[in-house]
Order: sequence, then structure tokens, then C-alpha cells
Amino acid sequence: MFVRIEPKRQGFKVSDDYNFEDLTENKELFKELFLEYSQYDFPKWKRLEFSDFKKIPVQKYVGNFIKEGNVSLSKKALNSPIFKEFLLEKFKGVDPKFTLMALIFFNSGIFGNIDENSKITLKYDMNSNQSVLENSGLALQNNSSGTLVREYGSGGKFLNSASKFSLKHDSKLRVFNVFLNSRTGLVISSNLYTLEENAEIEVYDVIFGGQKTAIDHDANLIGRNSKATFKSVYFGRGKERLDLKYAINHFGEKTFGKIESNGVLGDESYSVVRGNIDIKNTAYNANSEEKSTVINLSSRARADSIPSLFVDNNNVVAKHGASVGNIDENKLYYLMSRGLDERSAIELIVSGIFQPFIDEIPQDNSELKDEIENAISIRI
Amino acid sequence: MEILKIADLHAFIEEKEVIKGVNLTVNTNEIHAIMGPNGAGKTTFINVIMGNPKYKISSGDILFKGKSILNLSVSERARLGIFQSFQYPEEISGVTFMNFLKLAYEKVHPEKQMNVLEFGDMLLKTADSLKIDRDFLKRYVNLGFSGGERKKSEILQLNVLNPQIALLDETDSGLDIDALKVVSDGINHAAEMGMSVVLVTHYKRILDYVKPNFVHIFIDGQIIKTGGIEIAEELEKSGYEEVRL
Amino acid sequence: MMNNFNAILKTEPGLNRSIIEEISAAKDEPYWMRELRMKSLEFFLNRPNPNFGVDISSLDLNSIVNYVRPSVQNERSWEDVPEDIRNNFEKLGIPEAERKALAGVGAQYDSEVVYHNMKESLSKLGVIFLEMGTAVREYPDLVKKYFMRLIPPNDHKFAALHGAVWSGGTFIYVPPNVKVPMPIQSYYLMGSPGMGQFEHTLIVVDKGAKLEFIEGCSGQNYSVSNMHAGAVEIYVGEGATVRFSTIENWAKNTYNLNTKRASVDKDGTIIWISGTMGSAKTMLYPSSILKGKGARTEYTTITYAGPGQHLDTGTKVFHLAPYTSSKVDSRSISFGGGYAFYRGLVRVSESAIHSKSSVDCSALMVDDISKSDTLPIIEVMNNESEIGHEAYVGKINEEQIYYLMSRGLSEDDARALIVRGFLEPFIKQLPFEYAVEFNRLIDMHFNSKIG
Repeated sequence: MFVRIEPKRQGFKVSDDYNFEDLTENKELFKELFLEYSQYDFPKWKRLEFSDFKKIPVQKYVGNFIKEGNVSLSKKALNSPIFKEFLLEKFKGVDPKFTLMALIFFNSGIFGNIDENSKITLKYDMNSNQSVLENSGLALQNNSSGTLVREYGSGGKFLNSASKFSLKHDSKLRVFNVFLNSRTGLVISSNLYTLEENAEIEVYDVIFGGQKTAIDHDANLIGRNSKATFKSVYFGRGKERLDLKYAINHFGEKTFGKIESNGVLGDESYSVVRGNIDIKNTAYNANSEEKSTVINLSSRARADSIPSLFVDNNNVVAKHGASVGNIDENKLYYLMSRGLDERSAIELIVSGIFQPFIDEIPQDNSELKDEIENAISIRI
Repeated sequence: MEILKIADLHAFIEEKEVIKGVNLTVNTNEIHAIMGPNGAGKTTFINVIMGNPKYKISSGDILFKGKSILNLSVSERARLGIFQSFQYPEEISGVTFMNFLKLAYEKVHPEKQMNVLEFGDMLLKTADSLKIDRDFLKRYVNLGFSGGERKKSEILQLNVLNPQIALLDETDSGLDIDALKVVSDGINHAAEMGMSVVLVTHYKRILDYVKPNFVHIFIDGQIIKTGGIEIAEELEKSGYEEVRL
Repeated sequence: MMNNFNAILKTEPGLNRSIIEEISAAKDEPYWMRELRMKSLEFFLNRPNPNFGVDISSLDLNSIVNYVRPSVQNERSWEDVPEDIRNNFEKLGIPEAERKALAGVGAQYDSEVVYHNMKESLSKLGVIFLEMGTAVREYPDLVKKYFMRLIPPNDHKFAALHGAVWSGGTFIYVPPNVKVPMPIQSYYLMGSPGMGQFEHTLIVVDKGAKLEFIEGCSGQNYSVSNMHAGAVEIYVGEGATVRFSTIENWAKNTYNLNTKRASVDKDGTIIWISGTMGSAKTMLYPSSILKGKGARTEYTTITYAGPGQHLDTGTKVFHLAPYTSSKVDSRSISFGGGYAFYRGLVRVSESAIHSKSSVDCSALMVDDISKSDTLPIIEVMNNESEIGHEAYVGKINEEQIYYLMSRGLSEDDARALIVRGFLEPFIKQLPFEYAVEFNRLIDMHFNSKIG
């Protein structure tokens, strides 16, 4: 077989890293992970202009982030041997350094074992918590279904989340991640999904800030007929930089993947969207597509699109498309011919990009819907 | 009363002259049909009246109620009460018909503000009276609409926004007879309310339902002949080549 | 049969200062060129291998012979080229094509050009067409102004290697407003085992002028590795047009690590027609630097990866000025375990407002032991440009096969026909003899007899 050469990870060292003394309880449990953590330096990210990290002490989480749902705190779930194994399982995520950091030093997160239809709503208050490190895990048993709504509120300095999702056969999960982190300095979110036969995952990301944001979703479609859909919308402004990666790895036959991202950029914001579709040799009749669209409202904003298709099997359909441009002039003209001025026409088109996401959010999370609408109008 | 007056209008796109000296006067409550072959510049003519920035006017004038509107933007013209219907209306994803029309209504009729409920009520009544499915209003603007649905969408907007003059572009093309009735009823309904109409069409068929006061033959960027319905009948028999002679 | 008994000078394998001195002395070069070689050698020794692309760890650069001089040079008549070398070019149809449809021909065997000729009418127009080494001696000022300015020796490891050991190649200068009526062609043949070929092509087309250039490459297959690290630099002047067609059909033992770059002034156009089907491993990304307002580039490229081949190819476009445009049609076929990788970059700078770019790449995978990857990067730094990209990876449509077979074609013929159809946009851009050769190659690979 041929080897594909890829760039090596670049790193930098910091003088004050999290250390073993920062752990107050269950120290023994994390010994091995910590050993690995301490061997990594921090990742240097060129496009995100990330080359410096200042340790922000992780305090005990103030308040209650579980708004609804029959789940336990990750800290408590560690007492169960099976759940412990699941929560401590490492994965790559945005970068091993950050993922391990969240797995070890977390001050929040949940573990849920879902065997019927469940709904979970989490709301992280980042005004009262300068740093939120989340270690979450959800296991969906056969034929179960679940909805997870996570809201990360504004404020704070550092959000680092690592979550794993295991979907047994015929289970179905919808995840909504709403980042309202315009003032948060660094936002990291790593997510790993493993799907058995006929399992289905749908993820919706709505992203407003932080200042530097790196998000990674990785789905492994192992079981036949499993299905992953990643949809994201974001609105960058100021000097915000965001780097989003959506990866779908097809292992099973007849697996289905879809990645769709829609972005709006203002001011000097900068977005990087990576969509990776990887179809392995075993994935006969897989079908996968990705699409990214950016509307650039400012002459100083920058949009990078890095879609990749890796195809190892010829019995598949894989495609991607990307476009970057200003607002479509014909749409503007149409709306203006109905009496709208240019500004309201632009507002309407931009809010139209977010609307389908708002529509998807469950009815009972109406407060969250309002917050999103608010965030849009502030940004416009 | 004179609503619209086009005076010796010439317009260009890029380097090419596409409207080559057109005169037309439309008074209150008049229906004018503009007929011509494909590529004659009929759609362009409507776009130029509405102020599509793609086209540059080199000479002549467009007067609305006696005042030149050449310096007005397309939204300003819409707010004066000019309405353009499109053959291929743009799809605006994520925006429901309801929200879109409410916003447009507020801009076009700032004096008649209604709350969401009143507006919704008015919209439903309008849709019912035009025999347009209520589901329409919940859908995203024109997204995935069939040909017939697109026309209905435009006619619904026409009736809600209630302009003083409507510029309708091939509103009849591709419609089956039932849809054609819905669309013609919509036009007639608006006309009964006092609206003037400029109706661009390739075929005479719609003129059996919408009765024009004047018929103009439009060829190669010009109106070459004006008369009553008899011109359309003549056209039906002998085609555009004969009329040109 | 190609062989190397015509070689009269061969350097030791590997690379050091004395080998460079030997090459430079044999070419009787000016001091600045010798210094450029020495500096390049430094860069080469200090640079790591590229951190992307194909695996070249099995390529032993110390065993490559970097310079092999054939027994003749720059003959103006095919009669004076030794028979065995001439036969190789005869088989490729070069002398015949020259008689019929070419304005000039250069033919390189190993490290030096053995035959070189241009129609007299062209020299009267002021067109210069010379073997590169001769140009260094005869037009030192002109060459110095452009040589390795677009591809600086420290650009990457193999640009540095090229700078150190380059030999042969083509120099063309077209004066303002001269439209060269017929294409000029250069053909590069590698005859010796274990050697490296490093020809340098420098094309300068002045304001309002026009040139069509065809480059052909092939070589004899050996059990040891050969390598090719050529460089092509094209300067397209204001309002000028250059069409650069290339067929790289290196032998299957060849590592092809090639660099091609064009800079385009105001309202100029570069058209790349590029086919990569030979070599064991290739890394090649023809680049267009659109630096003048209204500059344009167009690509029609195919990559044809069969058994034992890993071909990492792509296109790079840098929009640096307003109203620049780029259009890319890139296709690849992988079959018999071949691996085709498309790597693209479109960068639209802040100042390149009102620019347009459309990139289409599609890949056809003929069987399930082959592989096809696509990685196009788009970077847009202003909001007044229209940038679009589409890619598709898929297989041969079985219904099409069925339809063709229902009309009496064999399955092999049907496949070959579909592959041909997929490559049609590329093939129709090729000179006739290349198109015929290409279709023959497809037929052979798919056991077809369509002819």
C-alpha cells in the first residue's frame, strides 16, 4: 500500500501547565492519562494563530448545569467500573493535549446511559465559571433515542469540552451545541461518535464566538446502514477566529454521511471549515457528501475551506462543494423589489441561514431559541 | 389619472443597447398587455422600470405620477407602489413566507401597521380568496416551489402588498388551466381594487381571462404597434413576422 | 531499445561540491551560474523532505547519477544524431511531427539536448529558441534576469536539487506582439538507468505575444530508480497568451518531483494542459501567479494512476490582483491498485477584488483496489469575489456499461469508451499524435480493441 505523507504536528511549550497537583480527588485513577498528557506539548495552530496558552486554574463548578434529564455527573459516574472505563477512554479530538486535559481535569460533564427515549438539557454558565472543562459521555442502548441540548453561555476565559457518544444498534441521537461565547478567550470542543448498525446521529452546531474557537466532530460509522449528519452555522465578527472540523469515517456498508456548514463573516473575522470524508475499503455502497457556504459581509474577513475526500472503495458516491462570496445580488434585488431596504434585506437573508437550526431545536427549549435570535440581531 | 409614463427610454446592459426608445403611458385601472417573441426584451423592459441595477439608462425618463423615478432605488420604487413579478423568483432559504411578507408589508405600507395576529389573519384571508393553500405561508420563500407554485407565490404577494401598478412577467407561462384561473383571478381581483397592470406575455391565452385595455407588440427593444385586443387575435393567427410587416 | 553506451561523460552517483564543479566546468558556465548551483546545493543538503505527498523514503538520492552527457549535442539535423537515439525519437513520431506541424523542436536525451532546430521564419521575427545551457552562454543578461526567480532554489528540497544539478532544457523568448504561428515542442527522454534528469525550461513571452509550447517526457524502464526534477518557469507579459501542454509519461521506475510555475501580468493568460500518467510516484502542482489586473489562468488536467503508481498532483492559483480569474477542470482515473491524489489551492488575496474562480475536480475509480483522494484548499480574503468549488468521486456507472453492451460492445470496450469519454475534455486539447497515443494507452489498459 502507498503511504500518504502528512504534515507533522507542531507544538510549543508553556512554563505553567496543569500538573498532577491540580487534581484534588481520585488522583490514582488519572495517573496513566496524566503521564500521557504531560508528554505532549501544546499544539501550534497557524490558521487560528494559536501559539500561546496561559493556564487558567480549574475551580469547582459553581451552580448546576443539568437543566433536565436522567443523567449523573461524570465525577459520580467514575464510581461505576463500566462507566469509568467509558469516561476515561482517550481519543484525538481537536488535539490530544486538549482532549486529555478535559478528560483529566474536568470540572463538569455528565454521563448518561440511555435505554429509552430521553431528553437532556445542559446549560453551562460561564459568567460564574472562568474555566469550564467538560468530560461527558452518552451511551445509547439498542433501539433507544435521545436528544442532547448543550448551551455554553458567554463570559469566562476557557472552555474545553471532550465528549464521547456510543450508539448501539438502531439507536438515534440528536445533539444541539449552542456556543454563545463571544467573550470567551478560547473555546475547544472535541466529540467522538461510534455507531453500530442502523444507528443514527444528527449534530447541530450554532456558533457565536469565542475569540479563538476549535471544534472537532468525528464519527465512525462502523455498523451497516449507520448514518451521520453534521450541520453547522456560525457568525464571526470582530477578530474572532474559528476552525471547525467535521469528519465522517465510513467503515460499514451502506453508511451515509452528510456535512453541511453555513457561515457568515463580518469585520475581521476568519473561519476555517474542514470537512473530511473518509471511505474505507469495506464501506460498499457508502454515500457521503459535504457542502460549505460562506457569506462574507466584510472586505477584511477571510474564509478558508478545506474539504477532503479520501476514497478507498469504488462502489460509493462521494461529493463536495464549496462556495465563498458576498450576498447574492439577485436575492437582494428580489427582496428590495418588495420594498425592503438593503440592510433589512441582508438581515433577512442572514437570519434565514440560522432559522432552520432554530426550527430544529426542541420546542421546550424556547429560551435558547430566543437567545440565538438575540445573538443574531446583535451581530447584524 | 396617469400612473406610469415611459418617455423615449433607452437602456443598455454592458455595451449593448437593449431598450431602444420606448414610449408608454399607463393610467389608473388600465390593463396593458405587452406581447412579443422570446428575446425581444420584454423582461428587460420590466426590470428597467423597476430599477434593476444591471441595466443602465442612457436617455429618456420614467415618471411615476408625474415625477421621475430614475434616481430611486428598487426598494424606493416598490414603496411608491410598483410591483414586479418574476418568472423565476429567487429562493430565500430559512425565511418563511409569513415573515417575509410581514416585513415587506411594513416597509411598503408603514401607515397601516398591524400586529402579527392581524397580519396573519389578513394573509390567510387573501390566500383563501385566491384558493392558495394555507401551507404556503409556513414554507420558506420560493424554496423548492414548482412552476405553478412560483406564480401563485408572486400573485399572493401582489395581493398582499396591494401596489398601484403591477409589472407582471410571463405570469401565465407553464400553468395548467386551473392554476391559470387562480392566477388570473388574482390579477383581476387586484385590478378591481384600482390597480394598473402591465402584463408581459408570449401567448394570448391569459388574455381570455384578463381583459386588457391595450395591447402592445414589443419586438427588438421597441413597441412597434399598439391597439386593442384585436391585435392579439391577429397575432394568434399570423404570428409575429406578419405583425412586424 | 534505449541504452546508454552513447554516454561520454557521467558523474559519480550522489552529490557534492566537486560533482557540481564538474558539471559546471563541462558546461563552461559563467561564475554566477556556478555560484547559483553551489548555493542550491547548500539549500538541498539542509532542507528536509516535503511534509506532504508521496512517500519518497525508498528513493536513495546518493545512488542517483545526476549528469549523463550523450555523445552528441545540439545537432541541427536528425541525420547527425546517432541512429539508436534517433530511433527512439522516430518511434515517438517527433521528426515527423516537426515536418508537419511544429515551429521548432528540441530533443533531450539524458542530460543534454541532442537535436535542436527552429524554422528560420521564427528567428526572423526575433524569437529565441535555444537549449538552456546555450542560452546561459549566449544571452547571459536576459537569462539571469529570469532564471530561478519564479522558483527560487530555496523553495523546496527538489527545487534546490534542481538548482544544483540542472542540465539541458529549453529557453524561449518571444518579442512583443509576435504571435508564434505553430507550436514549439521539446521532448525529454531518459535513457540511462539510475540517473536523474533535471532539465530547465524558461519561457518569456513579452507584451501582446502568443506562444504554444508542447512538452513530452518519457523514459526507459529499469529495475533501479530514476528520478526527474525538472523546473518550468513561464513569464507571461501584459496581454500575452501562453498555452503550455505537457504529457508526462515517465517510466514506471521514475520518481517525478517536478515544479512548474507561471507568473501572469495584466490581462495575460496562461493555459495549462497537463497529463500525468507515467512514473512510480509524482508530485506536481503547476502554479499560476496572477499578479496583474485581469490576468487569467485555465487548467485542463488529468492524472491517470495505474498499477504501482501513486500520483499526487494538483493545481495552485494565487489571485493577487483585481479582476483575475481562474478555471480548473481536473480529472483523475485510478485503476489496478493505482492511487490518485488531487491537491489544490486557490488563494484570493485582499487586493484581488472582483476575482472569479471555479474549480471542478472529478475522480473515476475503475475498481475497488484503487484509491482516489481529493484535497482542495480555498482561501478567500476579500468579499467581492466569486469562488466556487465542486468535486465528485465515483465509479463507472453500471447502467452506462449495460447500455453500451446492449448495443453490442464487449464489457472491456464499454469501460474503455467510458474512460475515454471521461477524459475527452483533456484529450481533445492534445496535439493529434498525443491524442492517438493516449487512446491507445487506454485501450491497452482496459484490454479493449476499439482503436
